[in-house]
Amino acid sequence: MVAVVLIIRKTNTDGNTTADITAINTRANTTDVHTTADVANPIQIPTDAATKRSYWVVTRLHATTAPDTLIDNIEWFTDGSNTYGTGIGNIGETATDYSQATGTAGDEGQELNTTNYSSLTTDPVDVFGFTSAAPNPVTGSTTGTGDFGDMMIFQVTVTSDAGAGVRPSGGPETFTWRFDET
Amino acid sequence: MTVHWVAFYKNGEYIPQSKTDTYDSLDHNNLIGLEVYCGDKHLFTQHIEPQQRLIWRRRIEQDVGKEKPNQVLYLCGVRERIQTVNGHKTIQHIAYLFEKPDGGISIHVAGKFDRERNSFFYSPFLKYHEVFVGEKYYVPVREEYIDKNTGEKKYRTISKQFIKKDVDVKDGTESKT
Repeated sequence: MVAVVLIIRKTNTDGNTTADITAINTRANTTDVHTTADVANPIQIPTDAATKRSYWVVTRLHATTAPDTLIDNIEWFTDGSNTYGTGIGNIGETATDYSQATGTAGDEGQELNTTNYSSLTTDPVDVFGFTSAAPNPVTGSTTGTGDFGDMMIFQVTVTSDAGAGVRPSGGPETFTWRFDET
Repeated sequence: MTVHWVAFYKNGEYIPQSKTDTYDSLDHNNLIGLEVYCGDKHLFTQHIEPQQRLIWRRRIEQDVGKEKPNQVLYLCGVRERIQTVNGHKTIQHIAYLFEKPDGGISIHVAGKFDRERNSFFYSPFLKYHEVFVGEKYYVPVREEYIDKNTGEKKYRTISKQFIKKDVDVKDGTESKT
């Protein structure tokens, strides 16, 4: 009687390679592959004033059991607290379609913006500004099974004052989805 | 424990929630109450007056990386149109039923939708049978597409539309605009 909804990460050429990340973390690094612990493709810390970035991460909701009637009123937010440490941020925004992440593996990803990711709703902003009190609304709904709603795309940014190693050191950042069901 | 409802009509008919008897399929013009249960335990009954419109939602919050949702809750209550010196005003009486980790339910009763009071206390997208004449209800705008994995024809929402309700069968009112 109630829907079963997963959170998925989409990768590869057309986004049809999906990983169920509902119960696991996913790493924002410099490869277009979902992984929970890869260290072979880090984001390099720039030695100048430039910013290096992860490959963008494309996430979406996916229903394996349909709702009785409808799922709608989708929202996405963080806990509002950047725990990556100095020099590391995360930007994101919703998009209507999938675009494959690209860049130089082991070094940096292409910048996430509306030029490089044409269906991005607007240019991305600091995701930690999206909180449960002021979430990012995600357009979309579903009456059935399969992927639904717009995608939430995010990208980790690194500047020269960042520290090396797995970040956040205390465990992954928490990103949250909400939706209504009837 | 699953929270569910049994609706009852003016004619004495009782309709338990099911895959075929859903919140949207109820005859809201003849609905006079909703009994809310957790498993077989009766939690409360929401009575519905003619000038009131029932609200019901299941609301889910899910973190990435968590086996189970952080929170599942249910909105059950009514919207009511009242007369004021400045004209009509719509108010809400909503109970928020939070599922607890121990299987119990914690019930919060509140008035207007107010995310500042509690981040879960925000308005759903209102449906046709939940609004009064002159108010707007939500209609998803969908387009057809072919699922690349399965080849199936599916629909996706590409935008949302809010349409003004012109006639209300329940109270016989019509929009004057």
